Amino acid sequence: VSTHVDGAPPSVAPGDPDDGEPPVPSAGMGSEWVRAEMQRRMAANRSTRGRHARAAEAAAARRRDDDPPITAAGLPRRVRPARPAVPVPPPEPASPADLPENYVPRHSVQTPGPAAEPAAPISGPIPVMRPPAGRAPARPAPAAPESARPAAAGLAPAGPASTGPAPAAPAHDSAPAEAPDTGSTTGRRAHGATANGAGANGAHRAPTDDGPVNRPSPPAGRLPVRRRRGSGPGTPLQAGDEPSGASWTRPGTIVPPDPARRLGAPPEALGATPPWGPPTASPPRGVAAPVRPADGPPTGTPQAPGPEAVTVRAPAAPAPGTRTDGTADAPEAPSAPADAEAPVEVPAETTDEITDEIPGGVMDTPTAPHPVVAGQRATLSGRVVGVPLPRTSDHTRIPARPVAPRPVTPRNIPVIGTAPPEPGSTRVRVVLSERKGVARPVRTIKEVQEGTPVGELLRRDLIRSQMRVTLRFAALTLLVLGVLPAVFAMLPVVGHARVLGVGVPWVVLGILMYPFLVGLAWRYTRVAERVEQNFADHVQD
Amino acid sequence: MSTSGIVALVGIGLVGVASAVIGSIGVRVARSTSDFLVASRTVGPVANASAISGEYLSAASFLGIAGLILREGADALWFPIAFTTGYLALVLFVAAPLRRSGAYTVPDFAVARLGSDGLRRLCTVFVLVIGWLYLLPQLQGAGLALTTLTALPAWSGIAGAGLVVVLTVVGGGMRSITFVQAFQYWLKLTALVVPAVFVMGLFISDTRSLERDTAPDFRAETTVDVRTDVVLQTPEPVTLIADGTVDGVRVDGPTLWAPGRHEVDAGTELRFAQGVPVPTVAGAPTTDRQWLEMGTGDAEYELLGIYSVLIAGALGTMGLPHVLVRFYTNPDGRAARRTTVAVLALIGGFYIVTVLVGVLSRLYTPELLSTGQSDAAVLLIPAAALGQGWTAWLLGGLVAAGTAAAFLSTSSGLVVSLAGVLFTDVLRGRWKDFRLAALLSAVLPIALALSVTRLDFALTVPLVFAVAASTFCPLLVLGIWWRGLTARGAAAGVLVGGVLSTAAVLASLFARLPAGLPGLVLYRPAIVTVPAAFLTMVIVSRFTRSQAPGDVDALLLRLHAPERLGLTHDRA
Repeated sequence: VSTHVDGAPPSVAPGDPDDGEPPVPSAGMGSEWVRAEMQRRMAANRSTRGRHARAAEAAAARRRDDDPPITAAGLPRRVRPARPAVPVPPPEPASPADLPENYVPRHSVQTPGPAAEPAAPISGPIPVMRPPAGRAPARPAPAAPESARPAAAGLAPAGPASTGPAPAAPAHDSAPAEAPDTGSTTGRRAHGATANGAGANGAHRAPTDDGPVNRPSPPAGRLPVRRRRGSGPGTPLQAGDEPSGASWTRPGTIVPPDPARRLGAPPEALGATPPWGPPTASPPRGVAAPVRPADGPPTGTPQAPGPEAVTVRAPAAPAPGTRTDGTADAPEAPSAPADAEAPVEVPAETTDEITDEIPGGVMDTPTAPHPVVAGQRATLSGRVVGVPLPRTSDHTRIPARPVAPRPVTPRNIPVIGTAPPEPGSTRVRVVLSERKGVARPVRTIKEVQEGTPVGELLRRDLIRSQMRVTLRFAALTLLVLGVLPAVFAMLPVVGHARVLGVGVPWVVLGILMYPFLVGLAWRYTRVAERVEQNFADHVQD
Repeated sequence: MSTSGIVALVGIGLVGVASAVIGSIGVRVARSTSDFLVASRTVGPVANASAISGEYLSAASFLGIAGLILREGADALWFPIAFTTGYLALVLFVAAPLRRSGAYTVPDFAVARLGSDGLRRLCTVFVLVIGWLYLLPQLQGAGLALTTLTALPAWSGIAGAGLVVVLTVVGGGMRSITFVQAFQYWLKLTALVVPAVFVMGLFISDTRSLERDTAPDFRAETTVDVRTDVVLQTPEPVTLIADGTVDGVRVDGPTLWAPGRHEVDAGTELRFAQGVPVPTVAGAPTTDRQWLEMGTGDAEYELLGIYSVLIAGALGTMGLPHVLVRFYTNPDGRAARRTTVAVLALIGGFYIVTVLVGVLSRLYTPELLSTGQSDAAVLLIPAAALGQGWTAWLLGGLVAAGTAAAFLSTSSGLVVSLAGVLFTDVLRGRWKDFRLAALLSAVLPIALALSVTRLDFALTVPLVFAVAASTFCPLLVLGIWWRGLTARGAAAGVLVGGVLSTAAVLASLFARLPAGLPGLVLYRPAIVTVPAAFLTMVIVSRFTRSQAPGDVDALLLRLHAPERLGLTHDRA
């Protein structure tokens, strides 16, 4: 249940944040948009960092990949891992191009699906677990690495599912990218897609350049990054959770455009996009990717991760959680075999979360383990793509490494790949409550504190707007106190005037001046507090 | 001793007892050094605002403003406005950022912002200078109150006030002081409002009016002891009995003063009969109608003087050590701002009442115009308006209690902040040393107050504000708002402003001022020294640009960003 809750909240929460963000800009000044963009870029950088931390080895390759995707910094990174895998799928890449087109529609379809399924997606994975059979069929088709296309085909029918599979198959390229996109898109659409702000951003970017589009997606990556950071800290879990929530929203908003665009423009993006899909799960995969088997796994992992992540979060206990999730999911899954899509999407998000988590506590283990698992997963993933749940479960089981928990939370296993069980437990806390509050602040504050361009911009803007307010009030005070003595000295008539029998100077200076000064001060505190509030909201969002 | 004197002493004693009781209650809660220094930041905004107001409303406000109104009339209205505007400047430029800086004193802020130990020591020096200069009139005011209300010698008042202050500070630390001062604010307000209401009732039924072209009359036979050389002026012929030196001539017997100025040397005794027009100190309006209007005194460069007072008051408040320290007891920057606004309202209300009392004193205690003791107006008005009787005596006792509260609150606040600076910057010890620091910071001004002739609050207080405005105001304002400030620039500015203004203060206190513009600049130095300090700070900082602290951006962000972002770190 908790999983469901989690899934549902993300969708909602994301939408809210996104909406909230856009409004801010509108309410605020044009500069806010700039800030937003800056932040996204920053986030991308960060996300890259996180990835780096995760997979130092693949870093170079990833970077290359990433660079192209620059726009989707976060994604690229993730994609990178996928790309390694991609080599295997190279054939797919070619197809990916085709797929992308297909995907676009799918995505669009998916997005709707995700929106509707937000919860379902989560459950979707889980359901997969249980209903493997049901899903398996659909997924199995996609399951094959090649399945990417098959999946695509399948996806076309069941957009969402296809996305999931696609990731796996295309593996790499198309699929992953799509998957992530879908995830993001779903989130965005579901939540913020509507959110014009986010959508607008994404749209704007998309129109301008694919890169930009991708960039939007990076935000998602950023989000994950943040999550990672959050996870990194002692309370990572919570932080991570919050971030995840944020990421959901953000990614969602950002991603949507990206996916479509990516799909449309991304043969190259494919490379990048795949990362997206994989990214979420791919990080581990990425690690694995080097191994390459990971590629396959990534797709699988993503799916599994997604579920896992979700399940994990809600269900504190991996094993129980899995079941519970399964139960919960099951309902959902059933509801939407299409869930395949949902799963895919979810996975993307979940993967993001997972990645985050991984960075945090599990980081190390994940990296190492992932490769191995990835390998398994890869194979699995291929399968998984086709049949996410079963395979994932299998994978998890196969990986065995994950330990029993994995079986329980196959999804988790994929996600965690490396050392998920533990993360899973911690994750639970994270996801539920603190995400928004803690993680975000940490990220943005750090950005601002680190003197990054965005931070610089924000800081300067804060101080300048505060100074502007202060000077405005000071000027008014100066005007009154500067002119009055001169008036009384130069124009004796004023001093001689009487109000109710009392001299004007006594009325003005003896009485009225004090309420005036108090009113000025009161008004100033209000304005200054509003400026601070805006700044804080900005930074924390 | 008269009954009124005994009642007044009882009132003063009650204030001391109440302060001690409240302080000792606070002591039980004060457990650590932090408790002593910043009241653990648990003081509520209302209590804190009351405490700030109580601490800020010194004898200069309680007695000095009314006395100034009595003498200067409408032109004196600028003084309370200047002091009130100081809090507006505080809230505009300093309040929240200073609180967020985590600085407890200006030296703390200097180190936090510029990281210079040299600048810290320089600031410590000027904190002590300002604190001691400000303690001086407070303690002397206590002596004046005691002399006026009772027949006791002035030194006893100074010594007694000093003793009570030291005991309060040593006994309770700041925490107790916070509540003591919150209590004292309301006591002061009550001590002004109640007599004002009584006298106002009389005034409404009084047939006399201030709308007349003559000087006020002596309401009874009055003897004036001239303690310092003074120039009196009268718009009408005055007959009096003089014993001493007047206009450079030895006089002993009945004299007729023609309209105009008359120089009276110290040691002269003047005796006026009832109904005689009251001569006033040169420079002040002589007739009641002139007194009601602005710019009617014949002081030179009056407009310039007004601007200088406004500058000193508006910018000097933020540099007063006992005011700054209060901001650290706010939980956060937002609370600091709101507290300041509350202080503005509390102080503004107080000043409105004070001005009213000053107006009434023109009618009931005009003889103070000749004695040069116009600061005693508030003390004498109950008896002057209501005559001899228990009503007047009790009101007199209430006023005496308010006066004592005014001296005690400001003095103890000053001693606490000075002791805090000595404690953290000079002694660097544990909390036991805080008591030693409190003793150290009180001894010097007590000794000085006993040995220096008392001057009007209207003169000494704006001078102290001028020093604060010339040193710490530029440091705080530029430090908070300008990232280009360097330690050298700040030190140069503080030095220039501090040395210039301190020199002017010393010249005003101990030397005969020249006439004309130079005299005004020495008498009201802020209009020159404040811009000089700002300019020096900016120019030197420009020339030492490369030495600007590298983390200035992060620092400024911390000062301006809301606490909820978690950028600030309070010290224990």
